[in-house]
Amino acid sequence: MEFSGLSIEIILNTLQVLLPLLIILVIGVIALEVGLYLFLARVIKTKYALPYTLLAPAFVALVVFMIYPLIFNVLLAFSNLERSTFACYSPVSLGTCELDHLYGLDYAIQNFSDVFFRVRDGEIVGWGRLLRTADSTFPVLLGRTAIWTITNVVFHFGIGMALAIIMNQKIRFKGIYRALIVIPWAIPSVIVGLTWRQEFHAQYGFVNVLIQALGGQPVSWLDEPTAAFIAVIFVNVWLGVPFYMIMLLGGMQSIPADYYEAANIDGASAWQRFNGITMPLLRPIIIPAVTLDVIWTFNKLDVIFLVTGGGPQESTNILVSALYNAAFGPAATTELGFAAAFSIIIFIILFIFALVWITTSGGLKEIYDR
Amino acid sequence: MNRAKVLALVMLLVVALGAVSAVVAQDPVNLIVWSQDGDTNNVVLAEQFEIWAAANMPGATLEIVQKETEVLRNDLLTAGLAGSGLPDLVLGPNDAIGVFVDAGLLLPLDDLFDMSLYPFNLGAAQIGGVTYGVPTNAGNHLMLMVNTSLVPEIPQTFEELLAAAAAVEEANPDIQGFAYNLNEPFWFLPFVHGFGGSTYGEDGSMVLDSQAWIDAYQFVHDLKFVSEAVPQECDYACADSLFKEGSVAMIINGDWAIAEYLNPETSPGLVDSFAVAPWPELPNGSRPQPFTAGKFLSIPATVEGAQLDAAVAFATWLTTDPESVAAYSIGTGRLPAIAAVAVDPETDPILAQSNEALTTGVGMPADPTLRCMWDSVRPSLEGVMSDSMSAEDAAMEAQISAEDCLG
Amino acid sequence: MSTQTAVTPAPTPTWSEGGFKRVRQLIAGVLAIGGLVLTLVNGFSIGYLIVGLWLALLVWKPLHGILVFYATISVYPVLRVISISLRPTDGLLSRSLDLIPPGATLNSFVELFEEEEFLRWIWNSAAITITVSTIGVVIAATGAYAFSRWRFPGRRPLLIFLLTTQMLPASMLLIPIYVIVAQLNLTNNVIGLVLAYTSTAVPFSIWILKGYYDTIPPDLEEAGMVDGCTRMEAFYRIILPLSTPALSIVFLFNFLASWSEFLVAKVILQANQVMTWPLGLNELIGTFNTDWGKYAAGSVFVTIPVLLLFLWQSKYLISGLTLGSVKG
Repeated sequence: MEFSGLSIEIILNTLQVLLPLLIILVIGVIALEVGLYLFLARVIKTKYALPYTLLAPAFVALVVFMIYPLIFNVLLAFSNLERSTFACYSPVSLGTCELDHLYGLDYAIQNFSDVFFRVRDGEIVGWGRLLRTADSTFPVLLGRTAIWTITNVVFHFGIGMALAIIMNQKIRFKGIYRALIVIPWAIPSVIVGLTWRQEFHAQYGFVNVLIQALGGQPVSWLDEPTAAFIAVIFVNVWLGVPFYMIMLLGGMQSIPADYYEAANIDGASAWQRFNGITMPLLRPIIIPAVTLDVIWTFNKLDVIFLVTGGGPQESTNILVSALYNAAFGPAATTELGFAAAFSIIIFIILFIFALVWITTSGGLKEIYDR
Repeated sequence: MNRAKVLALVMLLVVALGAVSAVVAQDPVNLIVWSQDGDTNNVVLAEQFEIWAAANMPGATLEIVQKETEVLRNDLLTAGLAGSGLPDLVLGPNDAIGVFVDAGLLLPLDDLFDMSLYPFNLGAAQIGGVTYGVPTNAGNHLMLMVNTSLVPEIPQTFEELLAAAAAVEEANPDIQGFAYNLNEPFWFLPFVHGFGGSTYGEDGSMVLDSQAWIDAYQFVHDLKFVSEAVPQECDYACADSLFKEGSVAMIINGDWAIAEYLNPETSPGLVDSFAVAPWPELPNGSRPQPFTAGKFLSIPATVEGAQLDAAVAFATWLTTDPESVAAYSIGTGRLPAIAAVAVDPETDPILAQSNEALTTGVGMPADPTLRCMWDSVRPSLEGVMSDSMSAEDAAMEAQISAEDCLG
Repeated sequence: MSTQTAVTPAPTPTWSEGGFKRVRQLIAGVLAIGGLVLTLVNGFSIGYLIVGLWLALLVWKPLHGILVFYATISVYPVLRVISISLRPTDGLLSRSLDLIPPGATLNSFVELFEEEEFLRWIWNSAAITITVSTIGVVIAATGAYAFSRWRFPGRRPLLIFLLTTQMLPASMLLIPIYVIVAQLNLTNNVIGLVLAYTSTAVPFSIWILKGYYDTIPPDLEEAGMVDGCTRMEAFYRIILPLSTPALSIVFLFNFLASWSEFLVAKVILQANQVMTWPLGLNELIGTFNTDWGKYAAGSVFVTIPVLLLFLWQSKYLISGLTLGSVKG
C-alpha cells in the first residue's frame, strides 16, 4: 500500500538505515571516548583528559566535513583540473591524460593569478573575469559584497533595535506582535527565496501590484540590475531582522530595572538612558551577534541563488554566489582548479576581516575569557 | 552404483542447485537514468520501460532521476571526479554530449548498438566520427504555439503576429497577445539564424558579433520596447503558465511541452484550441530557424556487466522498436527519430505540424565549445532586454566573452 | 528572572498631555473616516480603508502603528502563499491581491498528495532532520561543557576555529563533500546527508550552549560532587536540566537548518527514494514544470509545523539565546 510515495515499507527502510546508524554512533562514540579518556588520563596523564574527551566527537565531525574539504580544495587549487585535463583527475574517465604532473606550484600560480588578472599573450591586460561579463572582476565583486554585507547588517541591526526598543515598552499585545514578527525567521529559506522571486515578478508579483495601486510606476525587479540588487537586499533584511530583535529584546529584558530608576532620579533623557545604560550593557550581545551576522551575510548564498540567481547580467552576484555560478551555475566552467583558488581567496578575505574585527572590537573576550 | 559415482552426482547436483539459486537470487537489475526531460515525458518513459521489462527482463526496474540541464552536467562531472555515483543512462539534448566526451565519461556506442538502424540524426551525437548517443526522438525544436480560440488564423509573418496580438489585447485587456522566454539564449538563436547568422564562421571559429547577431538583438529589443508586443518580464514559467491557463494567445515553446498542452487537466485553457506552426517570417522574408537535435540516450563510462547489457537492450528497444518509438512519440508529443515510424497528419495533426516546423530548423552541433556561446550570449541578451545595452555593444561583449571562454 | 521591564514613563512632555492626546485622536478619526469615504467612493476598494485605518493608528498610537506595519510586512508574504495554494488551476497567475481567491479550491492540496510523492519527501526530511538535531545536540552539549568549565591548553584556538568554520563558503564545500559521500557509497542514502548536516550544525550549537553554561555557577556541580556524584553525573543531573532553554534553542536551530537545507542535498542525494521536500518543491517549479498551486500547497504544509514549533518554543527563544550575556 502506497500513498503519496510513502508506504510502510519505505518507512521501515529508512528506520533500518537510521537506527543502526544511531546505535553504531552511540556505541562507537562511547567506546572511543572511554578509550581516549583512559589513554589521556593513564598514559599521557593530563589533568584535562575529561574536557578533551568531551570535545573529541565534535572535532572528529568537524575535521571530516570541514577540514578535509578544505584540504581537498587546497589540493584542487594546486591542480590543473579543467575540461581538457579532466581525464587525469577522474578515476573512471576513458580519456587519455597528457599532463606530466597532476599537482604543482606552477598550476597554483596560474589558478590564483586567473582570479585577479586577465592575461593575453603573456601580458596582463586588466582584471580577470570570474564569470562572463566585463563587470565580473574581483574588485567589482568585492565592492558589491561589501555593500551587500554593510547594508544588510546595518538594516538588520537598526530595524531589530528599533523593534526591540518598542517591544520593551509597556505595550499591549506584546506576545502577538512578537509571534508575528518572528515569522520570517521560521519559514524555510527555500520557500522564502522562491516565493519572493515570484512576488517580485514585474506583472504578477504583489510588490508591483501594490506600487501601482498606490499610483507608482511598475519596476522590473528581476530585469534591472539596480532594482534586482535592491530586491535581494530587501529579502535578506526581511529574513534577518527577527534574529536581532529577539537577541536585543532578550538582552534588554535582563537589564535590571533599578538602573533606569536611578538614571531617572538623576533626570537623564531617553537618549542618555539608551546611550549610557542600554548600549553598554548590551555590548556583550551586540558584538558577537554582529560578528556572526557579518560572516553569515558575507557567505549568504541561498537568497541570491533563489531570488535572482546572480542575474540579470550577473549583476547581483556577490563573491560567494559568483563562486557558486563559476563552479555550478548556468555559466559554469569545468575549471575546478580555478574555482578552488577563488574559494580560498574568499575564505582568506573573510578570515582576515574577522580576525581584525575581533581583535579591535575585543567583544569576543566575553566568550573565551569567562 | 559405487560411492564415487554417488559423490560425483551429489556434487553435480549441488553445483547445479548453486547455479540455479545464484541466478534466482541475483538481484534484479535496477537501471538509473538521469533525465533532463519534464515530468509528463518521464512518465511515458517509465511506462515504456514497464512494457519492455515485462517482456524481456521481468523484475527489472527503472529509476528516473529528473535533472535540469546544468544540474545534470555538473552532477555527472562531479560524480566522474569522485569515481562513483554515475547513472546507467543519461537522457538529454545533444549539446551536453560534447562536454561529457571531453571528460571521457561516456562509452562509445558504435560496437554496442546496430547503428544501421538509425539512418539519420546520428551526426548530432557524434564526435570525431564516434557515436555517443542514440536518439529517442527528433526535434527538441522551438516553434510557434497558438491558442486558436483566441487567434483562429495562424500568423505567417511577425507583422501578422503583432497585429493578431494587438487585436487579442484590444478585445480583452486581461489576455496577453504574445509571450516567450525573453532572456533565454535558446529562444534567441532562431532569430540570429533568421537574420542569416550562425554560431560558427566559415573557418569554424566562433563569431558572435556579425551583423546578423546585431540585427537579431535589435529585433528582439524592438519587440519589447518599440512594438511592446511582449510582457515587461517573462520567463519560461510565465509564458508556460499563462498559455496553459488560456491567458496568452501565442507563445514560442519546444516540442517537449506539447504533451502537457494537449492534456486538459494541466492545460484547462487549451482544450480543443491548440495548434503549432513554424516560426513566422521576419521582415527580411526568412523564418527564424530553431536549433534541432532531439534527445539522446548515452551510457556513462562506469556502466558494465549486467547493467550495461540491460541498458543497451532497453535503449535499443526504446529507440528502434517501431511500436515503442510510436508509443513514445505519441505519449511525449515528440517526433520519432527513425524513418520506420512516420507521422500521420490525419490521426496526429499536431505532430504533423511539429514535423513541418522541424524542417525549418538547423541542426545543433555537438561541439563542446557551443557552451561558450550560450554562456556568453546570456548576459548580452539580458542587457538588451533591459534596455541597458545597445545591440552593437551586446554583440561585441558576447564576442569578447566567448573568446575568453574558449581560452 | 524578571522578564518584565520597568521603564518608567519619560519625563512629562512640555505640552499639556491631555490636549496633545485629543488633537491626535481628532486627526486619527479624520484619517479613518477619510479612508472609509474613499473606499465607498471608489466602489468598495478596501485598500483605502486599510491605509486610512493604519494612518489613524499611527497618529493615535504611534508605537502600535509601527508594530502593526512591521508585523504586516512579516506576515503578508506567508498569507500570499496560502492564497496561491487556494487558487484554481486556471487562475494561478493573477494580479489580484485578494487573500481568498475567487473560485478558491483545495485541489492543489489534493493533487500534491495524489500526484506527487509528497509524503515520502516529508518523511525523508523529517527522519533526517530529527536524527541530525538529536545527534547535534548531544555532541554539542558535551563539547560546550568542556569549553565552559575547563581552561585547557588550546581552548582559545579551538574556539576561534569554531568561528572559522562559519567562514567557509558553502560552495567551497560542495564538491569535496560530494566526493567523500560518493566514496563512502552513500549517495543513495540519507546517512551521507545526516553526517554532513550534523557537522555543520555543531559549531553554532556549541557557541550558544557554552554561553549558557557560563551563566550557571560552578558551585552547583561542586555541591553535587560533594554529595558523591561524579563530574559527569553532576553534568547530567544538574547542568543539563538547568539548560533546557538553551538546549531547546539549539535543537530548534538545527531542526530549522536541516529541515530546509537545499544546496548540499541537491548535490548529494541522487535517488528519488531519498529525496527531501526542498528538492521536491523546487522540482515542481523547475525548468519544465510550473505547478505554482502544488508548490504553494507544499510550502504551506512544510511551513505550518515549523511555525508552530517556533511559536511553542518562543518562550525559550529569548532566554536561551541571551540569558547571562548581560552582566547586571
